[in-house]
Amino acid sequence: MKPAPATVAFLMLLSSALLASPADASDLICHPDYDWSVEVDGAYPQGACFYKGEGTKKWFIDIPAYKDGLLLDLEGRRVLAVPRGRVNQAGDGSGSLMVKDNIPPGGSAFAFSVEGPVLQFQTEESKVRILPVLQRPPITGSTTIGELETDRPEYREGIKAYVPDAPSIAVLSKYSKPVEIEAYFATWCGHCKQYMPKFLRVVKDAKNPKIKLDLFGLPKNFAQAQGPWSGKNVTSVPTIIVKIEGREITRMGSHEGAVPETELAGILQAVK
Amino acid sequence: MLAGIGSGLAALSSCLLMLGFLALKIHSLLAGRTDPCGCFGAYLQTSPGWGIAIDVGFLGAGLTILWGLGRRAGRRGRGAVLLILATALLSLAFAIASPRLPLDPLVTRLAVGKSLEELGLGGRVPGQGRRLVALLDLADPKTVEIAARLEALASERGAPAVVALTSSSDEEKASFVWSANPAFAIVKLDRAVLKPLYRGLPRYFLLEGERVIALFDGAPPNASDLLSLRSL
Repeated sequence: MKPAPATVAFLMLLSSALLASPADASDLICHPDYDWSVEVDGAYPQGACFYKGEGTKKWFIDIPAYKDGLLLDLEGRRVLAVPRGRVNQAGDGSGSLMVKDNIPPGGSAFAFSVEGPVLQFQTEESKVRILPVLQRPPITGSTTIGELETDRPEYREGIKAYVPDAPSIAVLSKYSKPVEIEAYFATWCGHCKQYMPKFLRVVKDAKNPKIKLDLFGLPKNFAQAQGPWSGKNVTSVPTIIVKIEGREITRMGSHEGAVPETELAGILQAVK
Repeated sequence: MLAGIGSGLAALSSCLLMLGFLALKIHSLLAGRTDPCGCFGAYLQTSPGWGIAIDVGFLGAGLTILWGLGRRAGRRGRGAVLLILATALLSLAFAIASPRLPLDPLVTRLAVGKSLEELGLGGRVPGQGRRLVALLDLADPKTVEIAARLEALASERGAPAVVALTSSSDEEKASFVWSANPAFAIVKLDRAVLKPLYRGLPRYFLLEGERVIALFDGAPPNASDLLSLRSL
């Protein structure tokens, strides 16, 4: 006996409804939030990132070495393991992720605790802490833009995001006298986090071999501690000393709202 | 100078002071320092050229007074004392009352009709279409309660999405996130960017696309108020 066409159509609809993944409706869009650090057993693995779920109270934690992603559900007071197959790039170039958060029951779940600005939990593999980036142990001593970009996502993304004024960059690119810039900054300093990526982008974009940058990270007690900053009247961070032909010309004003490329271009133009 | 007591001396001192400022500014400019003087805080970022022009203007005013003194006798005696007292009292009353006076349109940049670009927020407020932007101090314990009200508002049918802007520190933001547990996005900006937009926090504005269509101070607006607003 041949089934009626209406029955066939109904069965097809039913099977497609059953087979289709309901996850599309539960895709959680997660945007990277570089104000946070992901600490795993006291270390800060490269590529580990904290993401804010759009319009939800959920966050996603990506630790590349882990076989699963982790979904932090603040309302549910738990952290759930999310199989990697349920996590995809958003594909818009922003680094955002699409997480299918209708996680089947039976997966791993961990309780978390909060102490002031730090959230922590213990997985099967290790102890994870989510903390503000400024609370990470600081970089001290001589460093480079490349090292900062590798180790500090907030600097890497800040450098990437800043668009300096093109005419000022043109001035910096063409400057012919030898310029030495000593920049003393601190990875624990909120103002440095805002200002330094802009300044570093300016130095990168200038691409002028005559402009040499010496970058130094300062510890919290730098006023008492000895280091490359000692004896140079470095009393606050960031302090950026501009030397032309070996002579200190000025210190850049890194106050809020300062535009490093126009200021530096102005300094160099004044000393021709 | 206002009271007319010792006008000559006051005008002369002011002129000398201005000459001193001018000399220092010109010296700094010649030495390559081009950062703004910061005399007017976050409200007005002057270039060195403008700083010099302003000082020249003040110097001109001082010289005008000196010139005028030769032609008109100053006010003296009890009247002058009363004038000083009245001025001092008025200044004090103004300083005390100013937080409650409707001065925001005069002293902040935030106004209906302005674009995000004009407010210095171009590209910094995520989302599209209609959004309620909340300027928040995350260190203020009351902000936790405000966040709950904003979330309730955002969950109403047809209500705009909520975005918070703050210049609070990372640590304050972290504590706030774990305690208030907000679903809306919090964007951290330099204080220099936000300060020109408010005198007191919290403050809210409604965006239609990239343009401000309404302002709210103090308590968050009601969903019905937001829904009844038409675009400009």
